[in-house]
Amino acid sequence: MAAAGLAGLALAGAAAGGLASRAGTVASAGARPDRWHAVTILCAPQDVGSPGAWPQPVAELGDRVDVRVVPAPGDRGTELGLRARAGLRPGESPDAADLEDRIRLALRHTRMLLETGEVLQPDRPGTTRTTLTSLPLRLALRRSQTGGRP
Amino acid sequence: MKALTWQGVNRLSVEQVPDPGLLNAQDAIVKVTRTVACGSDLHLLGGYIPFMRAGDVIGHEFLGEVVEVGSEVRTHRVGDRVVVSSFIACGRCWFCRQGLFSACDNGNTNPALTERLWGAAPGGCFGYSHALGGNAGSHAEYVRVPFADVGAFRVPDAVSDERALFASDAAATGWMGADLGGVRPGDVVAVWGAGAVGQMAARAAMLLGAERVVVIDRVPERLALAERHVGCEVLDLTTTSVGAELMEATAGRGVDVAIEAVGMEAHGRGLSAAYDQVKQQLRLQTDRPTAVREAIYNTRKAGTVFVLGVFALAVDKFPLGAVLNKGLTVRGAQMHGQRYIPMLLERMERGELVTEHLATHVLPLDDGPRAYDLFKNKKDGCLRPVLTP
Ligand SMILES: NC(=O)c1ccc[n+]([C@@H]2O[C@H](COP(=O)([O-])OP(=O)(O)OC[C@H]3O[C@@H](n4cnc5c(N)ncnc54)[C@H](O)[C@@H]3O)[C@@H](O)[C@H]2O)c1
Ligand SMILES: [Zn+2]
Ligand SMILES: [Zn+2]
Repeated sequence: MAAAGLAGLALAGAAAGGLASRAGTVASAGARPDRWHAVTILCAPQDVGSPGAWPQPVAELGDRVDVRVVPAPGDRGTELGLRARAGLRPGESPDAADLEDRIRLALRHTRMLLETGEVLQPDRPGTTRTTLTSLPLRLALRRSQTGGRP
Repeated sequence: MKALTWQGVNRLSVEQVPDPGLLNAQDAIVKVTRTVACGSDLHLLGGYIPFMRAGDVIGHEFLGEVVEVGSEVRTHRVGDRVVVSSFIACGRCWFCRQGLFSACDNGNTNPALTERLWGAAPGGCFGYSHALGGNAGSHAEYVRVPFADVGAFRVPDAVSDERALFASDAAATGWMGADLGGVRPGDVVAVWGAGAVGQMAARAAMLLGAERVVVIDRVPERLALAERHVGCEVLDLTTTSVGAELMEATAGRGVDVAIEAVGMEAHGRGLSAAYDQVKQQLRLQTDRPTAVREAIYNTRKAGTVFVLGVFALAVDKFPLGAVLNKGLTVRGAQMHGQRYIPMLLERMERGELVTEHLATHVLPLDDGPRAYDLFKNKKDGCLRPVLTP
């Protein structure tokens, strides 16, 4: 079964590799600093809020982000887009990667709040032990909410 | 409290872990009275799902009693006997509204892992790795159930614990395979795998009106149970040519719907199976799709193949040519339990869906490691071991 374990590690590495490094978050070819990050939320556009009255996770980003709210096609609800304001984007500011992480987290939390009324909390306290072989996974988990695709 | 934990590849142990508490207003805490090992847990045990950490509590198919509810829980009260869907879903996102609960947008607190791997994150699951949310599993005395109004279902008084338990995962998964596979009256349906999931898929196909249902496996005891308790036909792939049998049974058409309930650790005969085993061990492919290939090959033109077996990433020698040239529909999903459990409980109450025979072994939680040894190595005719915390 050692071989299975190794196959597993390879797979975890594949998932973790790009996650651990920020470069892996956005498809690197065709990266565009002014690209919108967005989620689709099952509610009407007016329920997403308006300037000065955004849901808490968006409001917390203050004037560091542009906000875009448009109806989604069909019955899919509303598209909420966020992007770093000009001057704070990748290549323009040393904190750009952090801001992009916070944007992705705010998008996910806003969808949870608007659709379910609260932000789902991960189970805790955890029961895990730290082992050497779990290193790639531990790295990946550091950005398990702030990395990814939106 | 006590819980059965994953400690490494093929290593489990019972440990003392902190009791769960309410973390969200829509949570309930359930005292687990029955929890059962699933074929999916064998993939965790074997190290094929590399998102486990030592100490993680496993288990996702369970039944118990509500002992605490959050302030926003509306349909459950302390004392309710509930069966809980193995997948965690919010019930209110677009996917949940379509009945596609395992694709929930809000049920997985670690979405980035699977977004990277698969392009999008499915919902969460109890005890099924950090990729599916890192939720503590049900092989424990207590478990926290998020979105309790959506995922927990009161068991009718007339349905026993032993029967209702399997609505949590195996029966709901099997039903989904037959339902979304589009089984219709008159169909000939073949099911690969005579584990609990395959047997439940076969039973579902029969209840949906299939003319003939054939279950295929390599373990004689399992085939015997399927024949006796499900009432389907069976084929032992080690003693017969599955393809020739299915061609004869369908007068050369092939089966209308094929349901694959084997997953990434398929065994088989001949070159294709040997090839998969070697490639998986050399890390050249992560999964062994032996049964998927056979299902595709034996499905009739314009038929449907539904993949219930769990796969992690990529397979090799996928017969895309057959899919295209025969005009097949190939579909798969993690289980949409919330969509089916109420109906399954009703059928269980009416006696149409019987599951007790799946629980070949019942053991205390302390014997968890032994239960998994029986299950994994198919010792003593073990089909599914039930643990009673
Ligand atoms: N989609 C879902 O939501 C979901 C839910 C539960 C389980 N599953 C998956 O479904 C699969 C079956 O689950 P289970 O609990 O019944 O597992 P199980 O391990 O009890 O049964 C699998 C069966 O497949 C048989 N098998 C192996 N190779 C075969 C082959 N080539 N042809 C035919 N049969 C073969 C084995 O002998 C075994 O009896 C697993 O992969 C599991 O992870 C998926
Ligand atoms: Zn399962
Ligand atoms: Zn949902």
